[in-house]
Amino acid sequence: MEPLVLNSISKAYHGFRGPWSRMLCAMSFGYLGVNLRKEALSNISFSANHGEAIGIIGENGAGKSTLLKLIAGVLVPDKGELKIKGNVRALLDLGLGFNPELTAKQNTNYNGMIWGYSKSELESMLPDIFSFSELEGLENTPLKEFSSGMVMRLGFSLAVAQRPDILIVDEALVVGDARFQQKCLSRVSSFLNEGTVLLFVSHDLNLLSHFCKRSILIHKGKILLDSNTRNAIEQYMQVIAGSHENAVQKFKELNEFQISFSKNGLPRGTILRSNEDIELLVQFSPASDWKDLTVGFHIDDARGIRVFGTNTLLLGLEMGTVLQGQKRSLQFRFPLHIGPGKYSIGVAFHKGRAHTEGNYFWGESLFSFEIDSGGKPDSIGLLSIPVEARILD
Amino acid sequence: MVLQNLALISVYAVVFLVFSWKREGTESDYIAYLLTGLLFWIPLQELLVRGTGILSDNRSLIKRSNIGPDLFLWIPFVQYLIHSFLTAIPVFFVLLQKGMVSVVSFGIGYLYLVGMGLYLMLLLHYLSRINVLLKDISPLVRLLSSLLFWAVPILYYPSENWKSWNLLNPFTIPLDIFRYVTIPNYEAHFAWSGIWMFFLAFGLVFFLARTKLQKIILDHL
Repeated sequence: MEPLVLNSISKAYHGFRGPWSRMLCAMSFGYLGVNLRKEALSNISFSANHGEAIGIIGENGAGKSTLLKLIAGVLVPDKGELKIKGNVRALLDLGLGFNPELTAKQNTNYNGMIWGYSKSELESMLPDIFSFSELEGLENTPLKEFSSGMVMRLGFSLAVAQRPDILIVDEALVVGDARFQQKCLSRVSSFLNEGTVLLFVSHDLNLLSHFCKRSILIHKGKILLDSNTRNAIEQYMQVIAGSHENAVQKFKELNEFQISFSKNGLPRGTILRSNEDIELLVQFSPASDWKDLTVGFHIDDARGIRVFGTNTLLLGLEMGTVLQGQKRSLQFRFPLHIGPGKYSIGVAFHKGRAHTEGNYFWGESLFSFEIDSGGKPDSIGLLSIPVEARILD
Repeated sequence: MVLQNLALISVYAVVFLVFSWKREGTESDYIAYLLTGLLFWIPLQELLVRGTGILSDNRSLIKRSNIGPDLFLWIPFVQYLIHSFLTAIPVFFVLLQKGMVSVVSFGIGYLYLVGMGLYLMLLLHYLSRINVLLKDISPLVRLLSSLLFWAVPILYYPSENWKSWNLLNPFTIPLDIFRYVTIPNYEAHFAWSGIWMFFLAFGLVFFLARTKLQKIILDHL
């Protein structure tokens, strides 16, 4: 029998329009007062075999976390059948649940029991837990004296101290420094080899591709695709592109304003590849006359560090005057020589060479996108410079 | 908590023995009456307050494991068992010295307190769940427990006028039974048959809290 089978699972969240409905629900033991219902998952069916790693992908609010919580037994499905053979362990929010006043050992014991370890199992596993987390000698130190990284390491070590039959990971697979991250990945790989089913939710598509041959794409609570990971990621990008293509933003300085990516004239999503040639399309209509207009854009990384910026004047393009209500479209075409990560684009409309000469509109982080290395990172760092290597002799 | 319980019992004992709110009994009768009343109520009140907040306090742990919320409700119960036992030792020691109770009645009395904890647990299954739903009802529960404290004949002898009001309190008859099993020659003040009504009501509350309400609570943890 397969260790995990979901058959037509549906789940809706129940809510309230106001405090009185909430009160009525409490007084009537849940039979009255529930007047909001949000369908989180609908008719979900799939199964997993021993040793299989399945990626779960989808936009925020698609229903990924609800699915994991149902499998973890934290939530109960409204409809359908959920068959689980063996024990389930969920790596969700590793640092949560620890008491800073208790020692590391006390926290390990308390949390371990919550996770289903018996007292004798915990006793025998303690040396391994502290050795794996590299916290030997700190067993009797209160957790409030630990750094957040140390707490995460302890949480992870406790969670993977014993091989579970089903391991659920929600963005919590990589903790600590690079060396410790390798240990985490290696431990999970060994579980997979021994027959554990891994269900992995992550927005890190590289990591997801590394572990999962199969992925399930969830969109608005339904399975859109259950296929190999490459296909699922391609489809996911199309889903994201679809949800962003009409992302029109409103500002008082502009009657109309829209930014989007395209490639060879066709709409492109917000997950892009390093070194890909891309077109940035800026469509706008000013709310007043803009004379001697220069349009610029800049790319910032997730820390807010400016990666790149340019404008039409620097590029030798004369925009002239754009009258109030006049619609203009502008395309910047460039190769994305930046490394994997999350970035945002800001746009500026100003007079002359720089905004100090007369600013019409300046907007930071108006559009977000992500650079994915395509599962095969060939470099590290902020830049992605195309490098050819040759053996000369 | 045990020291706090003992301090509370001492304060009440000193104040009320000084004011000596006794009726037709002797002073020594009142000492046993008062101390057994406080021993019954104070750990139970602590269980009521702690139990109400236990699911909200541990929501991050509940959300992370598949053991469900019910296990967490046993934490305040176990604390109650320990605290009531430790509180009972000096109280019974005083009463033993004064020859008001026997060692056997200590044992029976403690077992009865265990049963009382389970009786309150039926209600806590509901209170702890609605505490999640209504964000935090602990101030209300504290107020309710203070009202219950004065509505149970802990510090005073029940008068004929107040008896019918006392009987509306689900802890009045259980306290009367507790005194009956611990104090030799204690004459019960109430007809015990009324307790079945509370048992049935608490049982129904327990059942309803674990059916439809349980599903809604899991959505709101």
